[in-house]
Amino acid sequence: MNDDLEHELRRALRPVDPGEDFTRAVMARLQSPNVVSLPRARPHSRVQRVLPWAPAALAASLLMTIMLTHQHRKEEQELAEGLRAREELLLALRVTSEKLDIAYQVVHTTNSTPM
Amino acid sequence: MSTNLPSIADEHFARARAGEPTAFAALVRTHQRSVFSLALRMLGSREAADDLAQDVFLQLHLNLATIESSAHMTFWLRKVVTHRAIDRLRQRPRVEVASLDDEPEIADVAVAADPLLQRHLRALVAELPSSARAVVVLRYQEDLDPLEIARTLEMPINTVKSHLKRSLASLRERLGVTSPDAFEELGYE
Amino acid sequence: MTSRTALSIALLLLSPLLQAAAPEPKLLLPNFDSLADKASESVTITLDSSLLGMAGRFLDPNDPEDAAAKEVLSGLQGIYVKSYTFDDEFAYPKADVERVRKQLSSPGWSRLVEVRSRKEQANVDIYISVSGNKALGLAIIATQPREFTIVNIVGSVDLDKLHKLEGKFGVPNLEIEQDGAIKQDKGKPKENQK
Repeated sequence: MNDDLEHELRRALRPVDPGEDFTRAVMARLQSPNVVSLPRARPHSRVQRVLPWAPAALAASLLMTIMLTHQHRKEEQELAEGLRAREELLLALRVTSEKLDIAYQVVHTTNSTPM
Repeated sequence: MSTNLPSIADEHFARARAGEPTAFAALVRTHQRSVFSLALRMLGSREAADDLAQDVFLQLHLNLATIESSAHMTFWLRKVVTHRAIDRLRQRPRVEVASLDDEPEIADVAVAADPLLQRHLRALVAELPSSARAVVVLRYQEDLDPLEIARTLEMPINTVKSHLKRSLASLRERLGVTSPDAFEELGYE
Repeated sequence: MTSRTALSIALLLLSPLLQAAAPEPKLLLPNFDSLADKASESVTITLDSSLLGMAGRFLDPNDPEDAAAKEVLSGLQGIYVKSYTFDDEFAYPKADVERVRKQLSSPGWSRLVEVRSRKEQANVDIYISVSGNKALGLAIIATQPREFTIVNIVGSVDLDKLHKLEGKFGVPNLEIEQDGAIKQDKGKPKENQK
């Protein structure tokens, strides 16, 4: 019975091609001037000549980047843990309701064994 | 995702990484069917699926340098489209089931022998909670095994197996399937 | 000795007994690690109060399932689930299941529902830990030939909210009356189990 359902699910969820228009739309967006691209790096020595305090500023910004990256990683880790806890909570409640439902079904049919 | 001609896929991938637009377009053509369909089954609307799928390919273009191989790219695309679809579902009110008129034509596949049942099934899948829906779609559209689904969704494998078991039970119950001949008895065939 | 002194001494002597009588809503669940290899499917969930708090922060109020979970979550201090499915019948250790059942025969726990289903080939026992008018915890032991499940929910189980889960998770109507008293099906009064 499960095999029939799984077979029908595979048929029902067969992939659908969005067509050539989709490809064209993606390529058009890629070539659009609105697409963000990263700025190119400038030569370091030229910057240093113009801005003598640049190395210190660079060091400070690197330190800030490291701290922010660490903070970001910590937040990502907390996010992952929180989402995992949420999944487990929902699964626990589903398991609980499934077993309660068995009890309910039996209690409301003639097969129950009253206490 | 196409795995029939890995050497051509690898070639397109290498050339796209090198910056060739035609190669990237070939990658899009190869994978758009899977990415778009994943988005469609998750979001329930062609317009939303189109929008998300395009965004995913743009994101792919930006991140090509971080992707190691054609196989890694396949995994990356599945992961990003399902995660972003789940995020979009959480940001809006519970998704409405797509109307029967919203279904795109399946132009390149023989007409389904049982279109009504399959539309019904698609509607029922669209009513599953977002995580369960993602598991079912990855299993029956992409034919991934539970371990691959767990890696794609960054979900414990036992959770994947439980989602599959409970979703199938729920679908069976809602279809009223109780016997091996049930699909015939339902009058779909 | 004054009556006040006598009363104080009496209370001092009785207090260990009173503490012993207070129900312990958190069960000691056996470690079933050795079953993981034998089981075709296993679910082990341990959510203490801090993890429940973390989970609660990630529930989406716009999602009906999440919103229902958030309602139940309030007042809970822990949810513990062990569920194993096997390819062979009765491959799980009945002695361990009975050890858990024995904890539920201690004072403070009452068996709310006992069902034996020939159709589902399932036995389901639902217990509740109550102190005064307050529910402190819930326990479910469900056994089928190829599966057993133990659920222990610790905390202030809001019976009204549990009742309102109907339709969200398929939770049945436990015939919870307005004043919080629990009525078994068919109007039989709740029996106190020893």
